[in-house]
Amino acid sequence: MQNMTLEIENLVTGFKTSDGAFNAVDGVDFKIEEGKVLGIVGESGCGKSITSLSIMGLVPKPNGFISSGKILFEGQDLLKLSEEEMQKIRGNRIAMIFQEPMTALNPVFKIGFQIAEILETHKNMKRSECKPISIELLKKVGLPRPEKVVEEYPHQLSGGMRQRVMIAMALSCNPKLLIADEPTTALDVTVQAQVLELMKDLKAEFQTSILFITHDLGVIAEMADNVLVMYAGKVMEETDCETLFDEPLHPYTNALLNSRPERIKPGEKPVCIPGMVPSPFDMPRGCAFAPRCARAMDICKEKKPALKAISSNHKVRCWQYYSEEEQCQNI
Amino acid sequence: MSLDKSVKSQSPWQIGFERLKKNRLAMIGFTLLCIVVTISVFAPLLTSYDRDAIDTLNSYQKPSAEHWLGTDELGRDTFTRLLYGGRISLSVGLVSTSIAVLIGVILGTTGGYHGGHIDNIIMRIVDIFMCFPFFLIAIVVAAILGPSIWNVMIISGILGWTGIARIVRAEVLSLKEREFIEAARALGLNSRDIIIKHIIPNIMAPIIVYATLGIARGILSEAGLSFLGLGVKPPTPSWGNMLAAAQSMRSLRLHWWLWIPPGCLVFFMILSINFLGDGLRDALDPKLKQ
Amino acid sequence: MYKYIIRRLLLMIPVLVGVSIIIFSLIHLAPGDPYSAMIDPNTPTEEIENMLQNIGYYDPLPVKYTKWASRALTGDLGYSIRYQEPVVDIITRRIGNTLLLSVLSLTLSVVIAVPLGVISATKQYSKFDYIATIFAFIGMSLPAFFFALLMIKFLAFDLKLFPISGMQTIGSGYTGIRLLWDVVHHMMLPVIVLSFLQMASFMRYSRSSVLEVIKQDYIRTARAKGLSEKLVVYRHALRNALIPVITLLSSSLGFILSGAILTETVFSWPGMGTLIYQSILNRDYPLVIASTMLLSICVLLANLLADILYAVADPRIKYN
Repeated sequence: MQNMTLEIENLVTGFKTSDGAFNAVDGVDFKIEEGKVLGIVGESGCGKSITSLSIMGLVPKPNGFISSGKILFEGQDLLKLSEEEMQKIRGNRIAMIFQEPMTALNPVFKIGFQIAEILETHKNMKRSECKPISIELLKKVGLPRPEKVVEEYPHQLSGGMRQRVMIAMALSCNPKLLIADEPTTALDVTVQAQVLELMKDLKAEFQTSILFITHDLGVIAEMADNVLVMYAGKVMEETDCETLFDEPLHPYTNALLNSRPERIKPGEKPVCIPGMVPSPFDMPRGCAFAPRCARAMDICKEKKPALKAISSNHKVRCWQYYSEEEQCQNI
Repeated sequence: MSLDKSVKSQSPWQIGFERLKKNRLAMIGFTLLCIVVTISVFAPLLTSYDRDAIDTLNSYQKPSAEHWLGTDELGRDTFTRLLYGGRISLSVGLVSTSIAVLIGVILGTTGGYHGGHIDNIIMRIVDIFMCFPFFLIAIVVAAILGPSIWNVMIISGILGWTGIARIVRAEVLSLKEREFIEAARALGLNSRDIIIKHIIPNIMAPIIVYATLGIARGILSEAGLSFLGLGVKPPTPSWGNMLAAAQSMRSLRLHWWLWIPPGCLVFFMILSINFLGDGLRDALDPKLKQ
Repeated sequence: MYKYIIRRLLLMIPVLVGVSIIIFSLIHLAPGDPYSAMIDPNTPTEEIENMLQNIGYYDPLPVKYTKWASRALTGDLGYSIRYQEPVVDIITRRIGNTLLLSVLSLTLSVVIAVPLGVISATKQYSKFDYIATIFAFIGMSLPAFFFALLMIKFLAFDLKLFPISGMQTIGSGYTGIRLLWDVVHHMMLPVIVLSFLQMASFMRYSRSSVLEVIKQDYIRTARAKGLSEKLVVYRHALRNALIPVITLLSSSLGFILSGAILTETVFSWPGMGTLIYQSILNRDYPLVIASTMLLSICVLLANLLADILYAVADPRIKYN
């Protein structure tokens, strides 16, 4: 068995709101091997971002809270660490890149300072030592004229450049795990390709594991080794990247694959998944996807299916893959 | 509240009021406000004394069972004058705010909607008014126009419209680019109809919040001006001119019942309006800031 | 930047002209002539008429205004009717006292209130936040002069902790350090009153500003970098949250200058506030116009200063 960088067991992250409490992440398990990329796909609101924030220990307080589960990072349960111990890991051994490069950098500080801050915090460097390293990092992520960029403010850079700065910041301490939450969604297509290419290169160079969160299956195909399809806070299907595209099992995965724009031929109407993601306060009794599922059966509306291993590297959460006896036993 | 009960789905207003009901401070403010308004309106039922009845034999009486808040230099019952004074102070607040809102909304929508030169001129006027030290100009104008309740209303109304004009203008500027206004224009509605029927209903939230806080401002200006003898003229009682009793060192030191109760009422009034206004802002228009 | 400042200064001119025209016309619309009190009642009417004619009393308003304005431009703000002295001299004597009071209380309130507001925001909904919020509301709702009266009644009259009014003990002949203490002692109550009321709005404002900033993406980034909560709040959030507080600072300056009228009057503080109030009552118009103009200029300059500080604090803003 390979070295596991991250193992998550039965993670449940809940939120309290004025309208009641709900679980945004509802019993998620997954593993990431060293140097591998795990992609999480799903529509917005499916709990993929909250999963990543849970790992970072950055679930918005005081409304969000992790109510159960284990997050083992290199064998150590992050949920048992104190805030100070977590601070030593954050930005150092686990780094994160966010979706919105335009707002993710502090507008009032120079780029150089924002990178230097990490080095100061985790590597105990002096401010003066940081500058050459910052320039080096910016060069590595392919920013032109890095020695000028360190003296500039975020608003002077384009979105793509800012995302490169974010990546440079994330890589400044050679993290074991990089969490990328929709890192390319806000970027132009050409810039998107460049940023993805950059992340691949860096993965190869540093043996970094990457948790890649996106709603774009094209990006998954490009980046991921393994894929997790999430819906309404639960894992619906889990397999390696090739199998997902060749033999998708879950109706939701199928629907996602069919709704990709490149699947649509000229003159055809785009295929949409009917209906909407259910409100967290109004979850269906059975399978969360049942109301939108074309292949829904009676049992789907009554009872939640469990995740079932179909083969050694393929799991799916759908009643269709249970035999009739199994279905009956469950009723 | 004037909400249409027949509407099934919740309108933004209903959602707003639901949220307001949950805000404890706002509800405290609202309750206090209602109490003071009620006792002012029903003043004659709550006291057996005449507002202006002079009784020089009983001047400067301490609070007693007979005179709950004592008597003033002419032997008038302070409690009675306090109740009647509330009518004056509250109506100054209401009327001056109405004037300010009227001017502010008209100029704000006109400038924001039409833009160009009209907007430029209006905004310059706003600039000029904004750089007036408010209270100073109020005193100058009050001294010139002479002390009277109407002048206080007019002064604080005319000096108070700039804030609301700016807010309204900014809202209109962003609103007029929206599709439904474009659609109204495409349908051939004239600009007055568009402003009245389509724009103003959509900017009611900031107007209501601002107007609420404006009432506090009106009450405060009345108190300040009347305290200096430039506001409501005695013998008509107002909280401000009752406070003026403290202008005399002797009353300030010895006759606390003459000036502390009206001062406290001004304070509680403004406090409750601020509570309510803050709650309204949170409930109706979260993006609006101080 | 210099270009911007110069352009802004130039833009102030039409506004100031507007202000002066309004004030000038307002004052000259007032009934009665202020000079009658100055003139010996035995002077024959004809002579008075002649004199009034000479000083331009019967000129139409625009002519009067032009005359006043052209003199004002050369620094001649006229002659006080009551004090029989050039207006400039009286104002220079008084303005220092007002600045002393307002700058001190403004500084004090910012220094105390902004940290309180930040703490209040970081501990939102805590007991501290609740108490601070209540205090802020009290401060925003308490009329300054009523608060001043209460202070005088209880702290000065009843407890005799402070002098009742004025700026120094009359006829004491104090010098040196004793004079300084005397003035400081007199200043305490007015400064407490002015700064308490200012603190309220500064606290509320910095609280809501921090709450707004703390929701931003870059704060999450700062946390994701592994910075301590202290650095996240006091470096990343505060720096951004202070930018809007600067605006309040400038508007407060205007407020404190004019709001100090009542406070100064109540405390008989010999500053611009009492001067203006008395000259209004005395119909000392040259003095009223000059002081009002001066305060308006202060407000305008404060606004300009705010915009400049804004650009210093926020690198995104560039004035060209």
